[in-house]
Amino acid sequence: MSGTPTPTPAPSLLEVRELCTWFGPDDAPVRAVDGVSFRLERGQTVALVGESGCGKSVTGLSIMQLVPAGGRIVGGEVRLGGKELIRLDRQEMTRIRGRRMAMVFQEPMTSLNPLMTVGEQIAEMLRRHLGLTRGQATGRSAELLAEVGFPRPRRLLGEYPHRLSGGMRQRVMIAMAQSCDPELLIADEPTTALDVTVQAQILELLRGLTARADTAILLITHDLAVVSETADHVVVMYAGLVVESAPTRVLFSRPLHPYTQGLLACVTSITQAKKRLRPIRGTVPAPNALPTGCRFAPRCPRAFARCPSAVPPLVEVEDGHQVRCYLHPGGTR
Amino acid sequence: MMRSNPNLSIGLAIVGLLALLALASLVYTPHDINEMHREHRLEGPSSRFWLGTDNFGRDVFSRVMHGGRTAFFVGSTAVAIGLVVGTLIGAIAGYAGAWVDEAFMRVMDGLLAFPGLIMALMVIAIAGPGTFNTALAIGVMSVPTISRIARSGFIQLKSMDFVQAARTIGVRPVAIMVRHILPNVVSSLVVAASVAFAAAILSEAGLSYLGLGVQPPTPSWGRMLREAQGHFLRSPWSTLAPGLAITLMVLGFYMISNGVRDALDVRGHHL
Amino acid sequence: MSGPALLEVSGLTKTFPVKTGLLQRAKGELQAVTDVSFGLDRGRTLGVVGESGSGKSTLAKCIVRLYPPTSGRIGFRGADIARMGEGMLRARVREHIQMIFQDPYSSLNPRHTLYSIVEEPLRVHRRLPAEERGYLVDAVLERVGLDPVLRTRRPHEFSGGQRQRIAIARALVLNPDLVIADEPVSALDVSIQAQILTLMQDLQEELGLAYIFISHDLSVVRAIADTVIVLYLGRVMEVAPADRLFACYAHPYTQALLSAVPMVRTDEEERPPRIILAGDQPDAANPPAGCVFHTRCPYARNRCRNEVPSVRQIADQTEGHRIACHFPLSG
Repeated sequence: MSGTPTPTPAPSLLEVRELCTWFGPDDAPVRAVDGVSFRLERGQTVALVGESGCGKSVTGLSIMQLVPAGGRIVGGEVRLGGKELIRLDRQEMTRIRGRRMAMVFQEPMTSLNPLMTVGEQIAEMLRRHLGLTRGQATGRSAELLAEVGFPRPRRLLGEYPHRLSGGMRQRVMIAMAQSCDPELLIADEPTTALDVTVQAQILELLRGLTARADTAILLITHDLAVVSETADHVVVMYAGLVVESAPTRVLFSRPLHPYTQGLLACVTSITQAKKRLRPIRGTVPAPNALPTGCRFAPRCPRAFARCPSAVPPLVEVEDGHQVRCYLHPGGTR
Repeated sequence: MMRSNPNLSIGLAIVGLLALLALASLVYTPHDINEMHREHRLEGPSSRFWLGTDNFGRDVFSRVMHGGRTAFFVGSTAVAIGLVVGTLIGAIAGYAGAWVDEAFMRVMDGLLAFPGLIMALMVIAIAGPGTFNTALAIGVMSVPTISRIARSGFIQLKSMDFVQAARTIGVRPVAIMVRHILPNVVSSLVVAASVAFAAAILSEAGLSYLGLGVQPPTPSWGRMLREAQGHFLRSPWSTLAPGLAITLMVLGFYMISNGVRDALDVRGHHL
Repeated sequence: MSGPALLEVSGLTKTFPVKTGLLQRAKGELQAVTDVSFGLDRGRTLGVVGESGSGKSTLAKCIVRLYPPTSGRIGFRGADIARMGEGMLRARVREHIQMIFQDPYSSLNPRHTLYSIVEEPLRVHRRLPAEERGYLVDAVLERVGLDPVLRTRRPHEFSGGQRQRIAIARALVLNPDLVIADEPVSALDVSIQAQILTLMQDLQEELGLAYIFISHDLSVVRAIADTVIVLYLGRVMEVAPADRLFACYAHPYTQALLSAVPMVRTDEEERPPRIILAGDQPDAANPPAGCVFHTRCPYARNRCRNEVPSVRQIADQTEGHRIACHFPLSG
């Protein structure tokens, strides 16, 4: 799948519109996510990219309706297959979570119960969501583990999480996430803690999911190289806002936002000989002390008089390529 | 760090009040603690004797004040001994590891195997009764516990990168232990010390109650209990007053230790 | 090469006892690093790459002598420091070799101030009278991009990138010859990572530092190293000048490693075919016989299972390209 998703009359699988998730007191909120919009089609992988504190993880958790304590969704829409999730009651949401959408995290050890075997944990999901019997659940668990690349899945069912390596745990997590064949998988830094060769295994697995099972993946990561290899479309976030959004190849060939350009200049590559990088100066602003106007302006090498005036709008400069920068005021909106 | 920590503030208030009374006894008590008002024996509280009198007609309030002094002296001396010796042993065992650790810890295990009071009795049997010896005995009692806490802190911290970094800089082991590790263990030692303080107060009371601790004429809450218990039915005041003082003091220190732990936990989340 | 190298490591091996059970009896041993040899000149950077369990951190800790090596030689400025006692190390070696750790949240003492952290090496080695140290500390802080006004702050008041700058300042204040950096940018965001790498490059140029740069991230090593060592299960698989290693690698493990590295691609570029290694790394306490990589090597033959390949110079090729493989890849 390249570039433009085919226009269909049916609603997108996931549609996030003007999502705002704030933390802290109402009079001085920390705007972790401040009006984020994007959409995700079946079988597609969209990457949310940005550095720590940009709001990418909170966006993922907000979609799952799992905002951490102290935070709340203050506005916007999250639609899964046309169904609005934000105002669903807890019971309905629990049914959707795990069944229609699932999540895997960076550190699988903390999301697995250390006192239950791998088999018990997968079987529990299957029995709760799909109502399988104990026997059926065991059989299906083994199948799922085989699908994520374990050669002898039956043996693994009786193992406890701490006996597995990081890569194996992450595969178990993906098997669990896949247990109910969800339409949407949210993967938050799924390979960050892993070695490159293991990372390659996991990324291959994720690619397989979109191809075979038509699962849509929302990949949350800071690693542009991983994005380049896995995603169909990229959404770049900075300080709670989407600053650029484009099909993957387009974004990496013709990045428009100075932040995206800066990030790409920071990326090291095995094909580039010993070289001097061109780092972005300064650091990400603290979320409770955002600059006025364009939030990247204080670090931007191309900032001009207009930048601090107001937050620039996100405009569409070509088909599927949006950017939030006064250097690109044109577009069709 | 101190924001809304009821355990810590109430604990500090109780202990502070008792400390104030004990300190005041240095310069003033309503009556001389040993003066016997023979015509007022075993009286209840009155405007003249605030907490009544004991079977010799001595003023209970004055004696409780002075007993506080004894309690604080024994408690702080015992905790100081326990902290110094315990931390030293724990630090060396934890930092050195290997056979040094084994040797120290087996000795500590041996000490732990005796019930604390029995050990204190042994110390007193050797050193003789008396206020300082009581403190010494109680201090020795607390060494194994404190050394274990110090040891686990030292073991945990010695593998931290900043300690490794100090070694690569060339910092000497003693300086690493004192400058780098100890300040990071102090918090758990403070918690241990306040628990030990509460325990020391109880032990002092217990030993003195048995007649083995603080000797007459120095007033001690434990001995006041022992002397008054025979007259409990006729005059509960002379028993209840020292009993209440012990309870409050122990409660106060436990609340402080809980409060300190809470305060540190909160900080732990930020780190 | 002219004159003796700054650092000359040969046959370095580190073994840890594996203890089990209540009585902590030694059950066996784990060879974390086996027979590693290399040299490093002043002003150059040696990159050490490998996955977790490859022994790269153990190697670093042996060279800074946090661990005593089990055997082998570590020649530093003409002396063998492998078996030197702690007193001698303090007097002669420690000030010339410094280390930067991966996690800037644990490598700085949370109770110390910025100033006391950076000043400590000067104090320990009695460089300068106390009143003059302040000037030097301020100069170093400014050089690494920290405002000396912050000298009374404690580590938790700084960001990850700033903390790594503090660690660099601490390493530099004694003006060492060799800095060993163990995954110094792995915990940092992309833009901060680039800042720290650039800083390290600038400092190397100014001060003539030699670096041993350890990382699991091959693209970062590519950006900074002159020579690269590839480790697997504690053994050297391949050593070569960086340009050569990334272009003409000869070891199947290097090939698999490089093919697994994700790359940012634009429209035109195509990625080389990916080689996905089967299975997981073997247990280091119980390594495979023969070539340790044979269990996962796509080209393994009988000889690989039985005979340990020695590290040897590749016949015709560039100086310094060595490899431990019976059947090197050609071209």
